[in-house]
Amino acid sequence: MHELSLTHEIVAIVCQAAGDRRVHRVTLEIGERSCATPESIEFCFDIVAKGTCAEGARLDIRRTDGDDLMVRTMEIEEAA
Amino acid sequence: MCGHCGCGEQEHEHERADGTRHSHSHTPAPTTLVELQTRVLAKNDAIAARNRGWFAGREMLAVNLVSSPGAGKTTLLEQTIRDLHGRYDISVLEGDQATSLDRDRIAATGAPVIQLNTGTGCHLEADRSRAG
Repeated sequence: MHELSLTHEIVAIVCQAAGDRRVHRVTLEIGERSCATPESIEFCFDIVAKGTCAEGARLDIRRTDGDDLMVRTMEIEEAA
Repeated sequence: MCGHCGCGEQEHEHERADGTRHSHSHTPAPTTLVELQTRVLAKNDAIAARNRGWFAGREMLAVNLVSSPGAGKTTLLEQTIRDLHGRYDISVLEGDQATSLDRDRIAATGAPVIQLNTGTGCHLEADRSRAG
């Protein structure tokens, strides 16, 4: 159940960095020992991102060995 | 992005809602890759560090007691508070999804207690503990 809170934080991190530019892709790293379930975050992401700069963005998830949960990179539209 | 199906492929073919197929190619909108390298729990960790400092500054030992429902957290607390009565000042932040039944049980021991209800959440984030 805590994946919903984590996903809110992921979207907040992305949108703060993106300003008002649209986000096309977000790459996450989820550690084996992070206690976060990738499928749950995927499930929550579309719902949480709705109405934000990350709405419709593609979420790429990489599994790692560690215990960290990190927002690695994002692809945003180029500044006009 | 493809205006028909929303996919990001440059060249593709797929079925429309009416069963007809279409194929097309288009150039995706130019994007910039931004390195974020941000730990998702960084903000929570910062608040948690402040909480730890708050406790340390008051020479308080904070114990996080977590288990599955019905394991006996509140029973253990009731007994501990009664056994240590007069030797230590014990206060409780009681985190539950909906009820204040456990707060009432702790209150009956005479220890100060604050109930935090998390609603749909199953855990206490650092800012909730801080608010408590």
